[in-house]
Amino acid sequence: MAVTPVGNPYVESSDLVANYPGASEALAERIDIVGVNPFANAGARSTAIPSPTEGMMSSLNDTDEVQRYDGATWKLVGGKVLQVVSAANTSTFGMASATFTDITSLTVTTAALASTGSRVKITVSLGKVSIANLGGASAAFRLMRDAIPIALGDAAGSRVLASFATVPNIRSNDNYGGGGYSFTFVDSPSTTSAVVYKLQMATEGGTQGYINRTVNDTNASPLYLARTASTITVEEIA
Amino acid sequence: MTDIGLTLAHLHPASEWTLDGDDYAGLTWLSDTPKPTEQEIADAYPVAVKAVAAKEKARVKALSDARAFALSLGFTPAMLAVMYPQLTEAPSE
Repeated sequence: MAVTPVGNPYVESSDLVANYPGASEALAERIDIVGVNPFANAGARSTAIPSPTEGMMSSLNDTDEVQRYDGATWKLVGGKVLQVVSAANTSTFGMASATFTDITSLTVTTAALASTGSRVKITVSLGKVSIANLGGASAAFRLMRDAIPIALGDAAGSRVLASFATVPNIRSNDNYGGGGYSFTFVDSPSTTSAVVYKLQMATEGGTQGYINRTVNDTNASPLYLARTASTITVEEIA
Repeated sequence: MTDIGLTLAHLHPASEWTLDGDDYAGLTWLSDTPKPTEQEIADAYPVAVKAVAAKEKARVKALSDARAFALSLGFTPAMLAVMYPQLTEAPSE
């Protein structure tokens, strides 16, 4: 019977039949190293491979993960979204304060994080921000992790540090709201506890500022008076 | 429906507050002064609306006056649209 060569050190046509058992064992060991072996869970894998070799790959049926042994631990190959938490404000939010103040409806609490190495992607989307005309008033926003501001600009003199801010209202019409805003930040909280992410807002001189509506909020059909929605979405990435 | 934010800006222009939604239940008073009652706000709302309307009327008149003045200086409507777009804003109410 013809034997198809598969390359050294495996079976070749020139091998003696007596060498086949050893060559087959070597082939099986090699497959263990370079193949992606399926296991029911991590426990079953530990039983089957008590002493893994760096570079080994395995797949776990219970978590649908492919993992690679790095010489010390099994680590997830690629990334995976472990949890998604989101909040939407489909009503309106208004405020009048020059001090950064919580937007309670744009606050989310994660479940406990999977590991201290987890990264958390926060996406904030504001449908509309409007500020009462005060000679070029703006609103500024801070992203918060628990009570700590994150994603701020670097300190620069007496400038306010924020995550993002609006274009100043230089229009004379309080029915002309500002545009929508979107902001994304990847956080490394280094904890396995649940984390609260929220958005804070401050307005120039404490003048009126709104999310999802214009200042005057006239009840009419032009699109510049449209009510909008705003969201905050948090994703834990393994 | 009473516009609470608009009314507060007229009734207590220096106060600090947040308003979640459109209803009084969503009003959080941040200033040291007493929080106005829902009735006080409801009573002040018509006055605030008149104040906003008066402000808007003055704004539209100022725009109209400025536009007429610019045209008298020789600017064309096309020039104003490019140089001073605010003068071409349509009245909102």
